[in-house]
Amino acid sequence: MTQSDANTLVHQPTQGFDRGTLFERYEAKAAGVSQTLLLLVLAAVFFMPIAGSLLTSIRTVEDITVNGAWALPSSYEWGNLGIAFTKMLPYLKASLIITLPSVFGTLLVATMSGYALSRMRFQGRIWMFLVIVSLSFVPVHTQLIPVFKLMSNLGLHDTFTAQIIVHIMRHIPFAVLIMTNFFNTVPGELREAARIDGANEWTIFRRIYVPVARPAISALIVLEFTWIWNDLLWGLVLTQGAGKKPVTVGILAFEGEYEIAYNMIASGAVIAALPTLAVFLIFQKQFIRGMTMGSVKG
Amino acid sequence: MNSKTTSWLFLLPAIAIYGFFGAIPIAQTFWISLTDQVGIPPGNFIGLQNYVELAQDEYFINSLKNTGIWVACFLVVPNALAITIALLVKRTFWASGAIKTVFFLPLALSFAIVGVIWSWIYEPGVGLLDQLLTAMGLDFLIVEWLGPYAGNFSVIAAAAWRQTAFATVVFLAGLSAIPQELIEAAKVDGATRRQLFFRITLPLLKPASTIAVSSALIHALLATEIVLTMTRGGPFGTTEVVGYRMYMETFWNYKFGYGAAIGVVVTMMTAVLVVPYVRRMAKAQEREWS
Amino acid sequence: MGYVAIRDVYKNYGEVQALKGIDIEIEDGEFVALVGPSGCGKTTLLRMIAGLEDITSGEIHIAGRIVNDLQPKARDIAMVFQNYALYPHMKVADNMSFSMQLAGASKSEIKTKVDEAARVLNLENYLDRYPRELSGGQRQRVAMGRAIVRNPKVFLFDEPLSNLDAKLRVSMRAEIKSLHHKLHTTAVYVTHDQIEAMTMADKIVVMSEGNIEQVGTPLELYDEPRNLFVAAFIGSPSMNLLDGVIHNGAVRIGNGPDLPLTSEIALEDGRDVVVGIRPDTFALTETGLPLTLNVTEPTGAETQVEGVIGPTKVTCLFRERVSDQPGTVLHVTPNGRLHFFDKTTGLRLGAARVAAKN
Repeated sequence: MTQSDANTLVHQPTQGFDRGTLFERYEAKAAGVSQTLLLLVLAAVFFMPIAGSLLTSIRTVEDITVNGAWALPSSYEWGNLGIAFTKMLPYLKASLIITLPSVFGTLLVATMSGYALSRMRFQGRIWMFLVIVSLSFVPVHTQLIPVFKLMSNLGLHDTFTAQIIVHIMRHIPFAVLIMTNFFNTVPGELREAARIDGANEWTIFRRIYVPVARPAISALIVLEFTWIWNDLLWGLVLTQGAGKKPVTVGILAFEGEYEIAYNMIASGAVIAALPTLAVFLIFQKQFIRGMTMGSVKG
Repeated sequence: MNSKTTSWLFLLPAIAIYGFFGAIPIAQTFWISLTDQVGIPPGNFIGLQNYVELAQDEYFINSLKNTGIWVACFLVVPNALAITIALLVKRTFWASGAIKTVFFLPLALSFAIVGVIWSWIYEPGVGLLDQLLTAMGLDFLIVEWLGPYAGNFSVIAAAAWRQTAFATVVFLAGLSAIPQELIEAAKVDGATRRQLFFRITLPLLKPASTIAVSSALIHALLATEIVLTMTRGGPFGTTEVVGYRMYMETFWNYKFGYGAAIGVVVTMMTAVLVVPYVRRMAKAQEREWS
Repeated sequence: MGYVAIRDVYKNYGEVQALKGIDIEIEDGEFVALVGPSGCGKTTLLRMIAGLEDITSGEIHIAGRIVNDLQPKARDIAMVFQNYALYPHMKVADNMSFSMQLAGASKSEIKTKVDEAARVLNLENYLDRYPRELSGGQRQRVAMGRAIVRNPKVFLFDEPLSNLDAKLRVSMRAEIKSLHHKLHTTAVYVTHDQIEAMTMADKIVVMSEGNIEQVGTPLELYDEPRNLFVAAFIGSPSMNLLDGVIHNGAVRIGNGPDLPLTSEIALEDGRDVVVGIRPDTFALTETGLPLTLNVTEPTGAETQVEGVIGPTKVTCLFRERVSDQPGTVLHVTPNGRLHFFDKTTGLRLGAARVAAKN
């Protein structure tokens, strides 16, 4: 073989070399393809309940019974959603009136507490932490009866106020936990610098720490909004008339009213789910951040 | 004003609200469980009689058994599914934004909605599930989903759908926290896919697993809202769970004393099962502070 | 054995070409350093040898096998990662023997190998510890140990010393070198630190922007840089590069006097060149190039002087002590080899000395 032959050989794809067994060479690629397929199948299965509900909500009952639940609509009955919306409107309003102050109250109280806890470097801080974590695990069943009684005695049964207070109470431990953990990551020099600049405690909190905590606060707002909006048990226990019931209770009443009109029930579900779904889709990043910051519930 | 006083002032609203509307009621529940209270007016002290009755109450024991099934299923199914999904999403990076959203979506739904949707899915004959199975030629698999035999499992499946979404979020975050270098090092060390998972990935997912497991435990122990929405415990109590029994005894039968006793039992079970998790969390926190 | 060949290798990330046709031959037992500024593609190339990165086109041979399609585990290589990549949930001994455990080695064999590696690396007392209980230098050793116990065909190092402090870096440098003398395993070592490459490698590959600039022994690169990039990259402090014009067998730099050249190089009159002068070749003289002083940095044995000759910043290293104030004009003459580069292509033309005045 001449020198130039050898050189050309080098730059051609070389033949006759050991390239490894077929298994060694294609294992990773085959695994990659099968994993992608499996993921797509799982995603499809996972999405089916939501897809089915959306589909059912815009069809007629006859269409469903004749053509089956998975057929495309023979006519698009957007009116179903309109009717559901009109019927659900009082409940949606009530949920909004309950949820917004609850979220605001929880955040206000928890941010203050988190700030205080993180700046108190006292001995046994770990016990305080333990207590808060434990409280965030307390089952609602331990508080239902006395709270129901207390609200009745205070004349707050069947009011928005009672529900707002209870939601704030229930969500304080978790929110305090998140805020404390967040403020613990803020260097103490920040407060010292502000004090040297002449700020008092409230100014430090309001002007320095609250703005610094924006990522944690925004994540908490999204999480708490979803959780409080989605509560059912307190809404059932603390209300009587339709006017004060949240939408989670409303959808059950709606379901009872329509019984086998599946299209209407699905419409109701879609309307009732819309607010939290929208918040979730718009603020997914904050939602996930909140969950991972100190996720103890879901 | 000294700084310690200021700290307590900042804590005051939380302590006041939680103390008055949260902590005192916890203590009261323990007290009420020792009385024969019916409805709102106070009852007479009857010692542990409610608990004695509970131990012989076949409805309660039945609900306890169903809760046990909930716990067993919830520990395994959503977490195993979520780990699988998280690994797959992590590996097939393309389009993962949209795919992730699909898996996360159930988190935004309340148990009331989940219950309503899944009731329609399980509807005999016309429901989404039966029709899907028929279309796929699998109609021999069809059973009475919310009937006496399958009912409890069907309700669990509905709740597991949502729980899987939560666990997927947790495990995905856990996976992202594992340095890519470690995975590469293991590949260079000659690990097969299986070895990589069991000897590197899974051990390093411990913090995430703790969260996912404890969340599954709590939801399984307390599963009240979804049962209330889907079956109201029926048929014949085959889907009753302890949390739902407590609600029924209290707000349908107005046996506040008896209901409080069930509440106490539920709380104790939660405490026993969740304590290891709280301890681990506290240890991690202590390490961080030291 | 551990012969590695990289033939016409390309790497594309979508539109971006990270490697543009790399050819390197590495002999069995050779210690090769891949060096270059960050983003030059050296780490990508190493990861492609390891099997952690796909090869867009070209071939990589390890020990007579074409490994393009093979997973890392089928390539018989060991790698030391930049952040060590120690498994946090395993003790040191398990970290080191993980690959042997996976390969199904016997307990006694594992123990022998781990003990031997621990002895070589002075880790005997740390085998029962977790990585988080070790210092940075110890972690680095464990990472080395993990590579050693496998007795692989090729060692791959990805900037293994970059996370250590300066003092430790120097001593680990020597240790890795002596380890290589002992084991004689082929090694590919990625670094951005040319001193590391110079002191450790048998052969250096200088890369920039996905291309190879030059391959050679450390002294070849130092003495005969193939182009301006290598000239500036190799050596510390780096070579001064000044514009000059050839004039009658002499070179004129800026407004300085003509420096007559020895006859090793013959360039035509009026040719524009870049003259490369190492900092330590300057000597203080009565006449010569005018150097306006900016900063003097005495280190005791030597004095490093920063200044300007004409418009160009220049660094000089003198054995004498210099204590003049900034702004003073000194006169310097190159007292060693001058490197000549083509002004437009940047390629080396040759070298010459300043001829003694007659």
